Amino acid sequence: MISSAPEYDVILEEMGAGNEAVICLDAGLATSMKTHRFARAFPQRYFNLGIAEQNAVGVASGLARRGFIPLMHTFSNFLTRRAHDQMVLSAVWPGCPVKFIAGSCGVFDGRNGPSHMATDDLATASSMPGMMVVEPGDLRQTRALLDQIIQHPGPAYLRLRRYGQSVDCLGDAFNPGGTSVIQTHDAPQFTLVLGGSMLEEGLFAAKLVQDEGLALDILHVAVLKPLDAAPIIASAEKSKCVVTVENHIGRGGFGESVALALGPLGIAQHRFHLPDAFIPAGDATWQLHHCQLDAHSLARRMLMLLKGDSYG
Amino acid sequence: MNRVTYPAKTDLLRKSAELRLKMIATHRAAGAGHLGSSLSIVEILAVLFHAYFRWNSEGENPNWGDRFVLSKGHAALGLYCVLDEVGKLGALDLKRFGQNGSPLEPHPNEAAVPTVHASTGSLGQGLSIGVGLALGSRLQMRSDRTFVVVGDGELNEGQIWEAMRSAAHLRLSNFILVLDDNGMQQDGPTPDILPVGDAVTAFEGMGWFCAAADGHDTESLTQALDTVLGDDVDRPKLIHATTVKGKGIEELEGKTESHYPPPMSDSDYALLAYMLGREGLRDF
Repeated sequence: MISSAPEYDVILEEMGAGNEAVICLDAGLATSMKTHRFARAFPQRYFNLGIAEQNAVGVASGLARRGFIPLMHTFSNFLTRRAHDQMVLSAVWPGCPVKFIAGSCGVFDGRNGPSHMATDDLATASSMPGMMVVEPGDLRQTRALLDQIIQHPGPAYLRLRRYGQSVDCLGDAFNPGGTSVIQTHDAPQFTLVLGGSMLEEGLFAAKLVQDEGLALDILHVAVLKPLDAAPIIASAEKSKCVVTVENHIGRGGFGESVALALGPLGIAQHRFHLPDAFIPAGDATWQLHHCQLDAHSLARRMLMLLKGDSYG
Repeated sequence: MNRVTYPAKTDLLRKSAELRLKMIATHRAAGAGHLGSSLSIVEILAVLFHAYFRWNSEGENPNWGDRFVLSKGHAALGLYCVLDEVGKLGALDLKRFGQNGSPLEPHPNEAAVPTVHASTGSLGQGLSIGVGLALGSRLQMRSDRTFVVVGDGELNEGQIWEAMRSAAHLRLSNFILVLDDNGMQQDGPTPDILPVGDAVTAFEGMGWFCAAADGHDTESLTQALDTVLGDDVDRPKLIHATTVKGKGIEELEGKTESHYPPPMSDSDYALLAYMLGREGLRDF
């Protein structure tokens, strides 16, 4: 299901064509962030500010104060770790409409190891007051969410899976607003909530557990903040059991946000997430398996939880 | 003509004296504040806002106009006072400076004060914001200027040097940085804490156009501003203003204690008001 459809570079160029206020910024990782098409098409609205992320975030905020919509590109770790204070104070505090496009997030981009991948960036970004935080699950969502955050009047953080995104995993279930209901059951045994980039792997896991006879509702969350919790709560009230899956540590990600929404209802929740550890460098397949988040591991863990037996 | 008006030398001197007194009075009313850092930039603020700064006119695109960024945000007390002097503080009352929940916070908050152009306080960030503002003006094909004030202690921050290179590389001719070089930071003399070396040479080496000024001499500042604004090369401008922290209060001048001093007594304030009044009216 690897895409032959437009990738991020084409989507970005389309956004530039659609809105003259959009400015594309890089911090010395243009080739990695695939901004070259925009740079070629709109050289007057493209700036590579070099390997200086703190300055780049500040410059983006200054452009936003002049009425532009800067899309600030670099890896998630260099944004939310290195330039955290600049994100919070130069851009988010005054409500500047800077759009942070963060690559190299979690296990789909971990070949360079812990110095180049953030497993904690959703926690950081979503802790910033007024920040919109999104993580698309496929290319169709990437396009929709990029457009949405450009329209959004305030700051936003888009967690971008740079490699291997499928074109469209949701079909008619696609809800550009945030939480998509992929499948519902009259009497689900549990509600499976897939966060951001875990969409495709999670859908495969869901298929495996359904083959074993389990009935479940399946939802996907692309907008972490503000979270559209209503569909999750509606399903959880039927199933009385929720499983969340995410490409992020347990603190501050999708599972915790769902827990905050479910907390008052007293509904059981099981969270499958990245470990509280630095993950060794590796490709996506290896890292998913290492973190027990590949489809077979997920299926086995869900079956263990719900049937008390082992899968496969 | 870069200046909006051309106030007489004595006028800028008088306005500086009034501004200095207003800062001290505001600090007295609040009972606390970064007075020494504010007194260091009295003349810089007076000259900029009374003689050079071009505000948006009514009905104009709100994204146009000159911008001012106080990167050394702890001198917000000084900024609020000069905004009040030029009638840009609106209904906000200086007497509320530093009070619980007041929009006039100890560090500038643009969400609370509309004429504050950038929220600052975490040192080193204002220069980068200024680069973005200046770049924005250029993209708008406007001649609006962006003025930024940094302190010498603030040059300890690495981000300043990132922004310095960035402004030069982008050839931001509408970007004017004033270095308030009072030689001090919160914990003592900057050369003792973390020296910044010959910063001006570093700026020049990066491609900036630099001019020097006595930061407490309005005429010297005016000349320096005219010089840099008259530079027709596409490059950012630096005014290296030599200043004294706590300037105007003898026992605070150049002292570490001037950073966050207690309020001045009634009798000292009365004497200072008298002396500043005389100085402001002195004819050159």
